[in-house]
Amino acid sequence: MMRIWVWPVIVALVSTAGLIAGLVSEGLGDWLSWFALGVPVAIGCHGLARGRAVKRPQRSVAAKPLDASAPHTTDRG
Amino acid sequence: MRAVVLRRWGWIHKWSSLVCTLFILLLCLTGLPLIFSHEIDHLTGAEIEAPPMPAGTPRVSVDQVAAEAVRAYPGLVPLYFFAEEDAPDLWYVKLDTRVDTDESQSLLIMSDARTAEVVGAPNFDEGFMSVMYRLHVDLYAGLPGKLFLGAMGLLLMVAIVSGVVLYAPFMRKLGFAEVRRERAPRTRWLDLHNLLGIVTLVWALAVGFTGVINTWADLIFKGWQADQMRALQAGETRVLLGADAPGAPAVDGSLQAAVDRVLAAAPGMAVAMIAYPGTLRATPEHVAVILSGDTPLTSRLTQALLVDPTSGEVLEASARPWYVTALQLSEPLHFGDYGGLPLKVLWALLDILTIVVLGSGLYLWLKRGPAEPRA
Repeated sequence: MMRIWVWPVIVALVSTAGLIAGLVSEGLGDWLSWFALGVPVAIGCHGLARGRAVKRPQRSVAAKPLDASAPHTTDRG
Repeated sequence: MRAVVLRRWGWIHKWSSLVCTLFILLLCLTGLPLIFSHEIDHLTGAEIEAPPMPAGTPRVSVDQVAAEAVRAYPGLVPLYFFAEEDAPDLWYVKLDTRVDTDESQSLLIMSDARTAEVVGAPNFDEGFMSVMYRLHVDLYAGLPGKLFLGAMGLLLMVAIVSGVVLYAPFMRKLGFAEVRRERAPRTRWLDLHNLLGIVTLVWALAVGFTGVINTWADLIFKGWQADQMRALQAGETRVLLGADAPGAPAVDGSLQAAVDRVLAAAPGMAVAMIAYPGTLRATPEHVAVILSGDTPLTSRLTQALLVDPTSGEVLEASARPWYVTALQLSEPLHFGDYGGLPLKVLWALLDILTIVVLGSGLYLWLKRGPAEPRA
């Protein structure tokens, strides 16, 4: 459970900070909000870019471990 | 989570999404150009600017501006003056046939604050941006249209929350941001739907919920007016400047003198809006002057003071109630206009990511297999 939620919670907290920072302070707050709200945008765009379909029928080994139910945590982007 | 509970959440997610998706897609698409409406108006020359005059040219009284506006548009009366932070030499003046209309036929003009001359009327009723605005705000259906879109926004909130509940069971075997791109397209899009949905979560909740609150703006101001009227009748007012206060600008029955007395009672504040007696923002006997502070937050959280134009007494009828604070904070959080152009660009990108979430959700439903009735 912890493994599933740690990144979503971090992104949520950073986004919240970004939404509020620009509202309460000018200058530094604006910069904070740009960086903070850039985080979900960067992760989302990266996911979209990496998530394009790949057709690599000759490398069936690459697909195999993903089908297995063994937990694997890395490969975040 | 037990299978039956999961199935229930799946049902909630499916139906709350399906009902609102097309409308939310419309809101996302029309909202995209609206984020940049200021920049678009500027680039297309639709923006009206005051003619250049030497800096520090004194302003004429608001009464003169009102008189000139009425002369230019016979048969109409002024309702509101609005001040724009980035156009200090202009007044936006809202005119209508009566002060107590629903403003559906109102006319907004721009007047030069230094000469009282009418500079122009922004053409809000024609053109691409106007279509975007009306589709985004009320579907050309007035208050019922607004409330309908608000209801769709509430369904979106339900869809987002149920989506978060479903996130964990779908991610049990996957790492964060993992997309099974070598699998069938439906699996790939399911992973992308989950990833984009979870990272845009807070932004979508904030913009969605503040959008819902904005649809209640008319009702909120009506409620505040009723509150102020009740406080006035019950005598629960705070007098900030008495009718006979020494040193205050003299009363002469004019709107300008009334506004000057409000400014004398609230030092350090600037006029954001002036509402004529009888309008939605004022009372039948008082002029309402909406004041704003000078920090990003206090410039949004306005203070409303009432002034009796004949006696000059300045009152605060009721401190800003929480629901007005909520509305005023909702506006910037919905528009994304409080952090310069970079924030607007981020708003647009998050909007596009949300469109992908909606589109992929629809796709997952259309491509649902018999084995996966939930998604």
